Amino acid sequence: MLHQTAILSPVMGWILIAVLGVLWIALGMYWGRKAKSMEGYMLAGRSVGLALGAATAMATWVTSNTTMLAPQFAFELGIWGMIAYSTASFGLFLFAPLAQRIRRLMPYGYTSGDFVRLRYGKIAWLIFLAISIFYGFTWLISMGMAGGILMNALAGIRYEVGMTAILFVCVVYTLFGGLYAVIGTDYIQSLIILIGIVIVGWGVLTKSDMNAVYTNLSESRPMLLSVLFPAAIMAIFNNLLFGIGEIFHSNVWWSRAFAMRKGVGWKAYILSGIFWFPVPIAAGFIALASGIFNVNVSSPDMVGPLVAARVLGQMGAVVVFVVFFCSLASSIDSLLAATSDLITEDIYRKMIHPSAGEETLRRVSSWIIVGLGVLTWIVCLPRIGTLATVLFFAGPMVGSAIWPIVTGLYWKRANSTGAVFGMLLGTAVGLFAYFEIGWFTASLIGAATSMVTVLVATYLRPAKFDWRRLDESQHHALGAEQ
Amino acid sequence: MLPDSGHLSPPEFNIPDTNYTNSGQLKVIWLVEGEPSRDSEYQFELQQSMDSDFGKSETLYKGPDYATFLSGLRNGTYYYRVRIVDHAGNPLSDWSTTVSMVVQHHSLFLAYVLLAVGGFVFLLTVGIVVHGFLTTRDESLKNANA
Repeated sequence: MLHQTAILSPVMGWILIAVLGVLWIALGMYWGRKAKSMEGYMLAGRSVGLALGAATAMATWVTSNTTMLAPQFAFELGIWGMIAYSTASFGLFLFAPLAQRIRRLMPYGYTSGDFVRLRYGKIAWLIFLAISIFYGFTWLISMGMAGGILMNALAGIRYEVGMTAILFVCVVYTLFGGLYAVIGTDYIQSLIILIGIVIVGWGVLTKSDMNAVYTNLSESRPMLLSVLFPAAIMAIFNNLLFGIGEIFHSNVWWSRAFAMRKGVGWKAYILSGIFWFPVPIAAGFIALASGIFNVNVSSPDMVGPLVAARVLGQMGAVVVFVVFFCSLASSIDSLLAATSDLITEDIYRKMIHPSAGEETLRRVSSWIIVGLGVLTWIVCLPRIGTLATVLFFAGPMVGSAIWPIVTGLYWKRANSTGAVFGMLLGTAVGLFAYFEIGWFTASLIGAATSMVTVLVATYLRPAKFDWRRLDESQHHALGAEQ
Repeated sequence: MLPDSGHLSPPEFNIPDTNYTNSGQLKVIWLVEGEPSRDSEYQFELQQSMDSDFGKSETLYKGPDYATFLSGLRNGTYYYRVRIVDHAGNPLSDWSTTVSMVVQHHSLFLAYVLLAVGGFVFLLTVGIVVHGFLTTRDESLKNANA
């Protein structure tokens, strides 16, 4: 259903898609030539340095979640929503020491699934895989949707067509280049995103009168300025814990921890958190200024691009289109690569074909990337909700993974019973909250339930884990010792 | 194309039957007879009021779009109506049937409880990471010195 008038012409939209699509595919193929081995394809040779490491983490986190969801948060939940969104940077800050620990404990690890399998055993591993793949898929869907919504709102390109175009471009260059292509394109995309956001932010700020913004909000959307806005208060820690859960469990971040050179990971994650922190504040402010520019917003997830494009005119709309296309591509490629790694390594190699050679694994990984792209395309077609409602449906699951991961990395006493029931109960109770209270509570309640479960299980049945078991290269030696 | 009489059937709202929100948000969608078009010669005027008879009302939107998203509403019952107008603002249809929306925010008590729970979970998580980082860093130093 057509609800909103476009700013750019469809022809201009197609020219931009074509230029950006060809650029990313060409760069992906160019960088992909480096990926000669499976380790190169999946983990970029474990040699990523600080600049590329920080850029890829930042660019991956500046996704539709930031450029489109942060304005939606501000538009729906006001000042608190804007602050709540920026707290997602805590996930990056807290993952910095975890990245160092992961690299030290698992110098030859491939995926977050490897960790859960070695640390907690098969049952926890299967539950974790279900959570992680479901989450990755949900994130992919939300970004495929975001691509379609964006191109429809900015250039009048039909939702289905725009969504197909961005998924196609990302699948092709990830297919050819693996993590080398993902990290390489992320670097350029992060530069474009940062420069674009400065241009857009500066443009909106210079054309905004703060008093007018305040007056407009207090008259037409008063609760957005209220410190006693219940839904917004609930969202603060919900979003923070959702961000932490996403980063702590997802193979997107673990694969980067494995891919970065020793000693680089923690610095890269701290730097990316610092660069990322102000982006949602700037993006959120743009949404709050929508009223004074008389921008009609028919869907809250489009408020950011619509206001920016309207305020900055045709050229501004082109900048906005490019920035948003880059932010979507930088996350879709990461998710395709990381989810494919997880399925190839944890399901195909570990469960189906343990003796598979590199060539077979590479072929399987490629088919999985294509399959994920097709599956995402099918689910995106009916446009099932707003970005927030789709993405936060995975909130209880990722929230419930925080404590099993963090205690598993630091506590010898953490055990598989706590991890299994922490993930199961956290997911169940969090989903109940999602439907009974609202999406802005589900991660928080899921994380709290999981935390209590893990603490109780650790107290009642403390384990005595040998950290050396996480390094699979030592398993032969350990077996000989026993 | 506009009919010669210039009088069109009023739009119809397409809003869920459960006219209730506890987060102060509402997407108002309206439909007209036939296919919607970007090149329409007419626009829409959407009004909001807290009186069912629209004694005191405000125009929320005037333009060609078929929906608008409202947020930040305070507790209360809100009434909406929409009509078709030309570009000069002259009415081309009667007002639509009025729809109402009740805004009743969640209780602040529940919000504070969840805020406290969230803060507690977050602080404990930070505590584990910081403590773990410090102790494992010491371990690696000991190993290095051993």
